[in-house]
Amino acid sequence: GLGMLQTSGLSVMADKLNFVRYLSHFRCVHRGADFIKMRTTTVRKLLPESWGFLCPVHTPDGEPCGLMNHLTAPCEIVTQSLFTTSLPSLLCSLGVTPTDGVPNQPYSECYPVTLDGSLVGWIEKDLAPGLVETLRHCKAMQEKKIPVWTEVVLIPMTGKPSLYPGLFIFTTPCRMMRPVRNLALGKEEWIGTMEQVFMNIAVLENEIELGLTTHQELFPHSMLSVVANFIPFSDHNQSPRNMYQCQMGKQTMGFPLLTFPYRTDDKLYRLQTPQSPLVRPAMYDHYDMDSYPIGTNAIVAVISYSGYDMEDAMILNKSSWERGFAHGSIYKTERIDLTEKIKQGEDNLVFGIGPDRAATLKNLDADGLPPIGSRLQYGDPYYSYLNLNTGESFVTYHKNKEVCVVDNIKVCSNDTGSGQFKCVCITLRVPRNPTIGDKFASRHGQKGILSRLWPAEDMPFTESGMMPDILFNPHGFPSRMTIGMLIESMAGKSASLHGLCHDATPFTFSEENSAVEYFGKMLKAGGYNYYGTERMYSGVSGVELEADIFIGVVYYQRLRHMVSDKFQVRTTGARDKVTNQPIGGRNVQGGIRFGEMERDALLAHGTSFLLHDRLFNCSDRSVAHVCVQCGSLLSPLLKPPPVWSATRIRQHICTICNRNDTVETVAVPYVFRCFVAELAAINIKVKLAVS
Amino acid sequence: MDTQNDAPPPKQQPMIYICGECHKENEIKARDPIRCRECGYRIMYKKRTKRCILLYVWLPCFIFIC
Repeated sequence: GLGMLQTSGLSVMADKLNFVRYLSHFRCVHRGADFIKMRTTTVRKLLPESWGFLCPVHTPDGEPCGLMNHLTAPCEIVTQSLFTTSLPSLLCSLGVTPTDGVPNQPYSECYPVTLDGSLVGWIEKDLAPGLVETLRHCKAMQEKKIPVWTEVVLIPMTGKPSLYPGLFIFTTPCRMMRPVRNLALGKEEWIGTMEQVFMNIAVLENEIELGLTTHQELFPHSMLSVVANFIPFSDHNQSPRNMYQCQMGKQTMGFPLLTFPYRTDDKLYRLQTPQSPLVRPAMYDHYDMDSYPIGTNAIVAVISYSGYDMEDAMILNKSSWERGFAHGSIYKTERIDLTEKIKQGEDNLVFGIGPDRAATLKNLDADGLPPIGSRLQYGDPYYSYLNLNTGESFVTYHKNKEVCVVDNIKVCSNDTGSGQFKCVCITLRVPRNPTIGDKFASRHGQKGILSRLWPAEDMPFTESGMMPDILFNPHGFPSRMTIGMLIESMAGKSASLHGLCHDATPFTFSEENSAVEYFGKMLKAGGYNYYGTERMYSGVSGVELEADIFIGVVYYQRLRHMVSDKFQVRTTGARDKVTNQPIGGRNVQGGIRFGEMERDALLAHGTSFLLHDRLFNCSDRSVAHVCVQCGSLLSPLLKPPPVWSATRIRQHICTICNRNDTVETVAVPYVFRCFVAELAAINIKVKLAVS
Repeated sequence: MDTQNDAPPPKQQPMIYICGECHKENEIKARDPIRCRECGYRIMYKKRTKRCILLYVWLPCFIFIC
């Protein structure tokens, strides 16, 4: 066997929530389920051989941290088997002594040469570096039939404990490779994981040491994954914030695909008016993400205003909300196949309205399906179908509490083209305007909850009359240190002033050539404050605000977590059959468990009346009859009234004591009665001492 | 029993579906096979309704209008 075998988690649903998520599914590498249980952190570490192959930023935090990684943007996996039969003879012509020969020097002075794990021959110690250089030259220049995907590793003899020395050549598929620039040849060369540990690769020009450095990275941001490359100015952010953005970018409502009318995905999210970001890294254009945008440019003022923006809440301008800011919708498709509803092999169901039902189902068309563009509310007829033999008609009702719009209906046939009106795909659109409690985030791991739709007339405004779309609390910055967001704000502002799209590729600015200076000058040229602040006036009183407010344009994403999918409310409702306690579960209008920890909190707080109310009165309070004399909860029974009695006399009598004056009523939890009955079933008597 | 279905629904416009391939409009009745008469494609799209769909604001309480 292969040792560690994993039976689950081998396939993942390629979610088309947005394009970023879809893309990152195909660049995700998981170490394996067995490593999750490991207590050590060694398996999660980023090792020298994985530098440039696995992204150091794009990994989830928490349990799968470092186990679930993503390939860097330039990294590729070798997929084809390469032609290698000419390699052994080529190696021999370059000075390798074949296995059947004897090298000129003792074996201890020679490196073994292996090709894909099998020994080819021996090479003398002092000849080896030259051979490697020749092989590398041929590989980069595509000479002598050496494939570009070849990995040439010379593990040198150091005299110290190290890896087993030798010359290893790999050509097999399933290896990770990435391009770097070969400085001697000035060409791109693909290198492998093992190879790079024994190579000298510079990142920037000034790191090149003559005679030592042989290669250079294509870009400094080559070490980042595709998703991490979409973060503007990520080199100015605190590292965990970039990790959060890598997670949140994948939960954004965006524009996942361009073929909405022809898709039948169960659920698709769509942002109605996405925009191209004003501030974008080079890789955004490289991947043509403008075809699949994931957010909107918003005017963001960093201001603490009214207290509704405390603790990561954010205030939205009500007028921009009314103009459709971040409006989204969910497309839900349901496939209804009537052949699955047939009972005894009869093939007689088709969509349609029975002649008797036509009047009552006037919301539906004659084909039994709702008209395209109509609104469905809870309880409206959804579709109707007929039994052709009996003429019986059946109606299904819309069982979603949200109002849906019928977006499109596809009528499907079977493979032979003889299928009757039996199978339809109904796509419903759930409009989701932003509401209080919906989640938004900038591209810097700065998420926030919409807490208030603030009337435009009460929003603060600048001297030019500009009103922000979003108010962001300044307390979100000091501890999180997302300077990238501040720079993005300035850059976005200057971009909109000058009509540009700014490049936000990480590692382009430095201490000497600072981003603030660049964009500050640009803002100044546009007639604004160098630091992006502006004088503002309170919208409520019209008084000039004492502090200058930092205001700019930031690209905001709408995340898919919405209150409409999450709210849970219950007054009365369904109860469990056995225990008579309220049931749980959002979709059945259940309650939220008042658990042990909540109980402890109320006990510690000394609010026992409230505790009693929660756990007893609001749960499964019931009034039971108990016989005071024998203490039994089970023996008191309702005495059947005498036959001659016209009035209803409800009299309980203890069947053990055979008297009724000892029966009293007590309030007990219903589940306790169930418990007593269950104990009785296993011959355990429960005696209640009622006082 | 089949007789009652043979009569088309009274005063009802024939249902029209659009072929997903050639976009030709097809009229399909309950018993007909789902197949484009022009190109033989087997997925039909229901046509957008011509009914008046009032874009009324949904009132949670109907007492006011009753």
